[in-house]
Amino acid sequence: MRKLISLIAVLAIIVSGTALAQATIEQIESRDSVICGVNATGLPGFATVDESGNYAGFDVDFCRAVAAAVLGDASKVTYRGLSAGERFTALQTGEVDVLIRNTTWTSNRDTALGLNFAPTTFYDGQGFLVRGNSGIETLDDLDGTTICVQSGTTTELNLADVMNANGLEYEAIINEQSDPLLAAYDDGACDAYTTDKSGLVAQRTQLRDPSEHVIMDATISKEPLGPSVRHGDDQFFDIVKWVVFATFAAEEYGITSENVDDVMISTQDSNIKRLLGVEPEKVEEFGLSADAFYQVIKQVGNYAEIYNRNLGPDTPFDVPRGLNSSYVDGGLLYSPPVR
Amino acid sequence: MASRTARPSSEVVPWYRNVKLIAVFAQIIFVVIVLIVLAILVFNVSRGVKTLGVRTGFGFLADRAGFPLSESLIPYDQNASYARAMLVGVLNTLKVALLGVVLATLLGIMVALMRLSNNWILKQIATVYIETVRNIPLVIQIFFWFSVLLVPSLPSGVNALRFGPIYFNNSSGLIFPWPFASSNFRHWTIWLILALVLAIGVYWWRRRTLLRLERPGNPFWPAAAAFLLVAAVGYFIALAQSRFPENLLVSLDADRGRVNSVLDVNANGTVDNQDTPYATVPVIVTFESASFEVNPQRRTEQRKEINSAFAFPSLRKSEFEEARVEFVNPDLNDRLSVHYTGFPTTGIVYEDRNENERFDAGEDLDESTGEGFEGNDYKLVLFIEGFKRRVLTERDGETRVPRFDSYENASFERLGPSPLAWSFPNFPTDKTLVTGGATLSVSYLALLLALTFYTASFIAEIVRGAILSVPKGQTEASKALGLSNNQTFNLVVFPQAFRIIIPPLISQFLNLTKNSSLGIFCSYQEFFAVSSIVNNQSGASMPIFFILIGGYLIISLTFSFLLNLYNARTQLVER
Repeated sequence: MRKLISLIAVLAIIVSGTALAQATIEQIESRDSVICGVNATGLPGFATVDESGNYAGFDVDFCRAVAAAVLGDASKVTYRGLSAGERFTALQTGEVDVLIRNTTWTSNRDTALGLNFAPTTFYDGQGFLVRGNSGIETLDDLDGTTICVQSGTTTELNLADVMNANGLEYEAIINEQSDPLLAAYDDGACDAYTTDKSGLVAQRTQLRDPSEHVIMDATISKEPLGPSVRHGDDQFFDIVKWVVFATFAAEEYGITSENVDDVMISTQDSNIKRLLGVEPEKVEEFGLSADAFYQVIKQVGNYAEIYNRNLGPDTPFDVPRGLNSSYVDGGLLYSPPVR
Repeated sequence: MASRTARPSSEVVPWYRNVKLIAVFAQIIFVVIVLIVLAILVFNVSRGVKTLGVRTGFGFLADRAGFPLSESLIPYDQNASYARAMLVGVLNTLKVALLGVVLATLLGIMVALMRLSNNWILKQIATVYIETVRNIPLVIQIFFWFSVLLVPSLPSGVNALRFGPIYFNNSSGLIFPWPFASSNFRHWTIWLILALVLAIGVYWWRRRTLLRLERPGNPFWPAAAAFLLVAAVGYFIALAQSRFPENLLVSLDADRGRVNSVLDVNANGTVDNQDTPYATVPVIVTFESASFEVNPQRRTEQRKEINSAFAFPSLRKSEFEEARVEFVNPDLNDRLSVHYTGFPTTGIVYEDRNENERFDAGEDLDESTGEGFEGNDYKLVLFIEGFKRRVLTERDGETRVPRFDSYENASFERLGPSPLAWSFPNFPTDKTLVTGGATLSVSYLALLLALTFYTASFIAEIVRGAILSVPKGQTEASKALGLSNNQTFNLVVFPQAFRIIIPPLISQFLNLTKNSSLGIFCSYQEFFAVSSIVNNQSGASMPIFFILIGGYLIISLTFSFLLNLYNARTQLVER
């Protein structure tokens, strides 16, 4: 009998113990790793896995940046591959600390899905991939076609809205995973494949004969992609938000992973001093060590470095910066002051 | 035991050793533990939901879904509610499960008989099939049917395989003519009900008579004959009764390639906003002449090496009384000629190099090098004179005709308003979207085939086991009575095996139904797949979770209840 009672007590403690939530930052520190939700099947340029299991890509670099800020080591990231359908549940239930999986910031996700979005890291728009010889050039040409679209995305909602608004009929072939869809498109099961344009650039390289396919000019939506965290932990939200801002600011001030040490010694600019933790108070207010943003820049780089490494002219994708330039160059990347 | 009974009965057993008391106490404790665990779970969930600020409750079901679904048994578009989207999912699950159950049972029985047969080859085929299919996970089989077999091997888009009015391609799937209830179906309904009542009466009467006379025979066939007879008579009577409404307008929307049929509510003779769509009017559309431009490069995907070949795979010669192909660029009219390989739908554009006004493959066109005429150089215009096509307006009051660039004098001939009308596939010339007819999508076929073959392998073993469980003496006795092999099986062995088959068969049916939730792997929009889309778009994961559990439970329990009723009827009555 006593055994039974103690068993119940132990059980109750275990269950209620997990019920009392820790702050995300404490969880990360106690496990010494940031769990980052990324694209499961891989999106070239944004998140891919090489033969030895290492993740690389634009989204992955922001995971590493968060780890560099919180743990001082960009390599302390556990990646969790998530499909479009799994991603929000994984974040809501605490399976991942931060979701950086080419996820569009929408009002519905910000409210009903219980997400907080850090600043947009990539301004994108939805486009269409079609065969060059199909004669489909404008949106109107898509009338009466079959279109491959990933389910559980903003893409399928935009598609439905735009086609409906223009009175165009179409049939959607829907799958939760992008790989089978792309294969179906390659096999001719759909006339067009639609997703964010950056995704189209990357996924076109995976087709049997990429030169046969063209990306239509039409852009049918705004797709601001960025990291997100769950509601209820403002401290961690602030950290992720400012890790992104730090990469913007570093590009603006001309700080790179190579010159950051020199800048730190030589700079007289108090903006930079506060950002890099030479004057430690402002960074410590986040609950981070003073060198948190220094580590981000040192280990991962500024925004331009991250962009060029994964999507820039030296990569197969060569995506023009466009809106994704610093505001000083006419883009949309703008960091509030560290003060 | 002996020593315990030997004790004096006056000795009181202490409460902690009282078996009855302990039993009651243990059960109370068990219930308390379950309640505590449940309470902790509920507390945890409600706290988590509060922290995240996510949506709870079922209110979201009325919200606009916003996403498309590619197949639906009921009208659905993105403006429908989440609830309707999920209903579409449930119906799609039932659509694959019900047909799957029937096919798997038939295939299973066939394979079982093959495995029991004395024919060595049949026996081996059945054994290999069962042992292979039964031991491969279902997900892999679904993947095999969808991504390995069907999608890559079927022709795409307009190059669809064609068997008469049936088309098969990897974008739309299997498309075939399908009857549907026209607006005059109601005249026929009463006859159908009458036929059904009569058929049931005949069934019972024949059954009783056969039992009384102790004669073999199946009461089903006379009943079926009675049904067909009454239904057929009723059909013609209904046909005679049917009239179109006086104010029905049929018009052509040439820009969109559609025929509209509307009721002219305000009787002004033209189609306007006040008019309401009128369903299912069969018409024959006739054009005095019509033309559409075709970019030949687009139609030569199959024969890329010959740029000058053209094909209109979806057009049938019988639809045109006359057709000719002309070049848009007048300069080319002098240089080039057309050689039809299948008038007027396929042909080769050639340059008459030896000026014999006849196509000569060797001289006129070098097929091996692919030296032809670029599609950009010219366009072909297909003129059609006296175009006729039988079309039916569909449920929303409109249907598609091929889209012409220009046409003259379209006219409509309304066909008799038969209660049951056929919808024929209207296969477009350049896009993949098909209207009319009925479609079984590639996703559906892949899931159906995978579920059928997988479940049939289990059913086959159940049937085989049941047949083998009938004592050999039964067979020998019926042989001794002079029954043939067929009679032995149909009258003696199978009825006895049947009782053994039914209970395990029910679980296989339930398995198949639940396994249909793997349809998400082949893009089939069944209950689970739709729910996960709704979950993702609305964020209401907890309510959807409960809807899923409840939904599958209801489907399974209903299935199980109906089959158990049947089971109770077939079991031996023991007294």
